[in-house]
Amino acid sequence: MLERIRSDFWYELLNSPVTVVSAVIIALMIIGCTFAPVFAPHTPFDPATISIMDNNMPPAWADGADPRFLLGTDLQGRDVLSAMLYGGRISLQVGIGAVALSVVIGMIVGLVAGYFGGMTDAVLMRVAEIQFAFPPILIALLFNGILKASLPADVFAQAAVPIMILAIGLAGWVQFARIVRASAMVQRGQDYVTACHAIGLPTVTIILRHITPNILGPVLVLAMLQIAVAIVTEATLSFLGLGTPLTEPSLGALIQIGSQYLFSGIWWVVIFPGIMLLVMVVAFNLVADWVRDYLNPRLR
Amino acid sequence: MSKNYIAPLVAALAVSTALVAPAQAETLRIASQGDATSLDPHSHNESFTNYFLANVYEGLVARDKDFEIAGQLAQSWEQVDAKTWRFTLRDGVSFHDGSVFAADDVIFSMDRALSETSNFKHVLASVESYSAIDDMTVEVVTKAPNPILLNDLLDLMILDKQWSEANGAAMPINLQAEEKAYSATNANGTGPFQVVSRAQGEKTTLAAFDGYWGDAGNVTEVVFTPINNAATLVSALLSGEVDLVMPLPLQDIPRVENGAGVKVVSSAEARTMYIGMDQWRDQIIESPVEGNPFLDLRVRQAIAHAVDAQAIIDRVMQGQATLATQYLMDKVNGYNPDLTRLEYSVDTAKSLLAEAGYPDGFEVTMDCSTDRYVNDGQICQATVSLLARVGIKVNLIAQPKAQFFPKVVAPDFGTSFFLLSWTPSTMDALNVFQNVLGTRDLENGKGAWNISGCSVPEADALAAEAAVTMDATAREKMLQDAMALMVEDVCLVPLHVQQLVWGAAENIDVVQHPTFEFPLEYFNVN
Repeated sequence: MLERIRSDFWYELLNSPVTVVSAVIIALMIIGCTFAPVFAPHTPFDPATISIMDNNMPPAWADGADPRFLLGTDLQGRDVLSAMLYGGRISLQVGIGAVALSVVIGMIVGLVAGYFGGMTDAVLMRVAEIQFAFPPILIALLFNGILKASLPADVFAQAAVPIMILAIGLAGWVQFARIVRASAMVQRGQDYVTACHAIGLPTVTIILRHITPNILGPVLVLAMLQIAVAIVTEATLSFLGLGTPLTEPSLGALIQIGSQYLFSGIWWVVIFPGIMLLVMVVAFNLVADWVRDYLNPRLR
Repeated sequence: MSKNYIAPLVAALAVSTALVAPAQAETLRIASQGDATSLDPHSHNESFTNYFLANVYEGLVARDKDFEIAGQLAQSWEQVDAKTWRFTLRDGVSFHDGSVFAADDVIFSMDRALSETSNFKHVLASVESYSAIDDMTVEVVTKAPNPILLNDLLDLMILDKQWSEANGAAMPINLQAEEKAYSATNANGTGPFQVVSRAQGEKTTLAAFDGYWGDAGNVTEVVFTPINNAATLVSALLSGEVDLVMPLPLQDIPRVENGAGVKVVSSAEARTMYIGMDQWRDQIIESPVEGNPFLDLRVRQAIAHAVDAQAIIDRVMQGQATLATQYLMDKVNGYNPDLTRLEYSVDTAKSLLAEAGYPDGFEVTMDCSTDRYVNDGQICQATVSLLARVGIKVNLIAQPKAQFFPKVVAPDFGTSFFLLSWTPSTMDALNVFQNVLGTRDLENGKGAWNISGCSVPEADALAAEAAVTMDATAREKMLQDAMALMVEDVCLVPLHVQQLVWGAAENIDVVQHPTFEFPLEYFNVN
């Protein structure tokens, strides 16, 4: 696999301008949001720097705008652009964090089930199927609700991001477990695994050093698709008021806040974060699509 | 056809017309940002819940269309002496389940309002005893002459004794325990409307009660839906999905004013918003700070100086509020016109904090509802940023009122910093002293809403004296002096008095009262 990446990766990539643009957008967003404190013109999560007297300013090109606020301000006087960068950071953190958690759980379950088979496989996969029967958003709501009920309100508010990662991560591992199990079952019967057994390698080494690298392709594709899903899930939860606190809104929470003002002419508070969320999700999907085609030998 | 047939035919026609076409069915669809917390009329003293239920339950007295106190279940009353009131009950009144209203229901409801889990003990705080003289007469004896007994009784809703006892609802439900009792989801009052269906937070349907003793108006059905998104709320009004939105989100006033077939109805509301600070715990809760900074008057003054209430009015309330100098609206009896606000000044606030030993401020958690008052969540956020400038770091817990109220109410008062407000339903300042400002004495029904736990004994004494003073001028002066003491002590930080703003379909006539009552029998669908 690694060899193939070296030979035609750049050629294939550059032949797909859509993917290049998407990848650039993702890179810009990740850099822009990760270093939001550097790039953002204001610090919207620091209440001391927000002035209520600056609220409801339209974007810089509209009448009555203030050049300090390129995309305008919200009802609290927060700079919308800065809030988007900081909010996008939360969205990316949750998206990537939740998928990382899903991948870890899914790979462990999938490898164990696929490699050992039998009863282990049956039990693990039935559990997975039961969870799979429920929509992920419902599972995330459930975990979120349990944590909200069991944690003191102030702790819950402060640990919003880890809680979202946990809730969405726990809701998304089943798909990973299923594809990893399928691949592991295929790999288990391969000659190289038999050879590993023959030379007396311990099972853990066989699974981790030899089987795992061979099943990473589909996991990678799914992970990229799932990041987009996780970002949308987080936005949905926040939109429903279950996510990040009002004072540190993610993109979904910003859209929720903005949606209250749809009829009042203050459109910029909802439109810009909405566009950013849309672009972010579409870009992840397009890149994931390309990676899937690239790794699929049948399409070559 | 011979003449003989005509008379019965006409009679039959008349009967069938009466059966088929009674008064035309007029449905009024109301939407609001939040729901009534329960259907139990004694469990949660919150204006919206009270006045929603006032369409289903009734009291001895109520405010009429013109905001005057008039007899409701009491036909008439007389003062036998300075302390003894005799109420003659209205004849021929029945509850929604058909049982007949009588004096034992009044006595039962008074017992219930005074029971352990009641949130309405204050309504009978001045009462020494009460008894049924006969089936249709109730006598109330006050501890001392009470000039505003009738105002106090406005909030005392009457339940059916048999119904309550048969359904295990002899006691009000405990709001804090989030009890799910029968009376939380079922109601049996004497009011013009009866509850047909109830799904909390989703939809409540009321129907005009056929056996109502009075004039129930022309509304035959009321569908109430809580909608906690401003844009959804307003689009529901604009599209004709609902007929009345209360309150109308402030940012959408221009949209509704210019909309076809809809109108904005507004008037002054007696609701004063304020910020409360824990003044009873030695250690504030949900904060890393050692001890309780709010016990120091200078800290409370600093917060009053730091919160720019005018900016909140201009920017968050879109100008639909007036600055509060005290914990009252100016039309309430006992309002003190001489009081002024602590001026907005970051520097003064900072130096006061430094004097109090907090030069770098401190950290505190603030509790706030998001669907109870006009723009409550936004007011809290603005407060967070205003306080940040003087170094006070506020962690905001913005929550729906269904979570907010159980957390902050008696007996645990689980907050050390919060946004709340009060409307004196009696339109008299004594109500505010009894509930919000007076030193807590929960067993005697005092200070149930004094969540701050502040205590100014001299003000208590003045309020207690006012409660038994019949001379209106002297009484008003006492209440004004007591208010001055509370303001001086910064028991709470007053913010603003909000404006009552509703959006309605053009064909709906509404009645607005400063206390937020919405007596639907006076509403009209044209």
